[in-house]
Amino acid sequence: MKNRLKVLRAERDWSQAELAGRLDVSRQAVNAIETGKHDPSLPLAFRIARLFEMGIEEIFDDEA
Amino acid sequence: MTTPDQFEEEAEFSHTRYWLHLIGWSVLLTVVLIGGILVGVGLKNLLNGGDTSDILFVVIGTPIVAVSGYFCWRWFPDFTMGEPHTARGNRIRWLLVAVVGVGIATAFPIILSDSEQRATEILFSNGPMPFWPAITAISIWAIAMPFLILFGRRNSDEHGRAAGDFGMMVGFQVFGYAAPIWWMGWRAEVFPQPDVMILFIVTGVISSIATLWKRSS
Repeated sequence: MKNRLKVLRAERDWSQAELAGRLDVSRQAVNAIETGKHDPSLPLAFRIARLFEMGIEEIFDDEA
Repeated sequence: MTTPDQFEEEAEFSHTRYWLHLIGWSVLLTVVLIGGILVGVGLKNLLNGGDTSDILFVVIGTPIVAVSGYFCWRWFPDFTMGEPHTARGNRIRWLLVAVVGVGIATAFPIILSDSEQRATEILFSNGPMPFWPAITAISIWAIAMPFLILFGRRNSDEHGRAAGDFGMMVGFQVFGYAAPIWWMGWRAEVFPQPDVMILFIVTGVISSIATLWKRSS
């Protein structure tokens, strides 16, 4: 699944570690999500959406 | 607004660096452990008489412990490997320390009893063990492991849990494949008697490799 996590992170000048800390996941998890190697669970997708104050479908795209 | 091109210079997560760090620390801790075992076994035997090989154990083991211990102390604080300092992350790091501690605490009575019997195979010998070292090792393992497993499960993030589940699945399938073949082969007198420790180690190693591969892929 494609996502805009890397772009959204960059807009806020956050490192992967910083984003991982805000989401309470490992940096490896953030890296895996950004590169599309791991699809986050629904609870984590909601946490990401809330953190960026956006809708889930604005961040993740299952049709790309 | 920052565009993706502007942050390409940020140090991205490097699996190579991560695993080199992890392997380096594992090797260093193993060297400390081996040195410590050499010194411990040598000193114990010397106190009970001992011979030239025990003096050699102490002479070789002491500088190994001193040098590797010094590097452990110098490099110690950074176990984070780029991971954020969160309460959950710190709990996971302490879990790793606890796993190593339980491993050493379980192995120590076994190694001591094997060295007393002058067993040629240390730790994974199938020779008889005296009652109290065996009960000590069993108790430490039996009481600590369920807590450590539960603690690890509760404090892993979903990516780590998914990798762990994959590793366990691969490990169990290897066990499910190999164990009946060995058992049937033994009954047909083609193979030696199944050895539970060999199965434990082989499935454990394969499971760990599968977990690490899944985490980094």
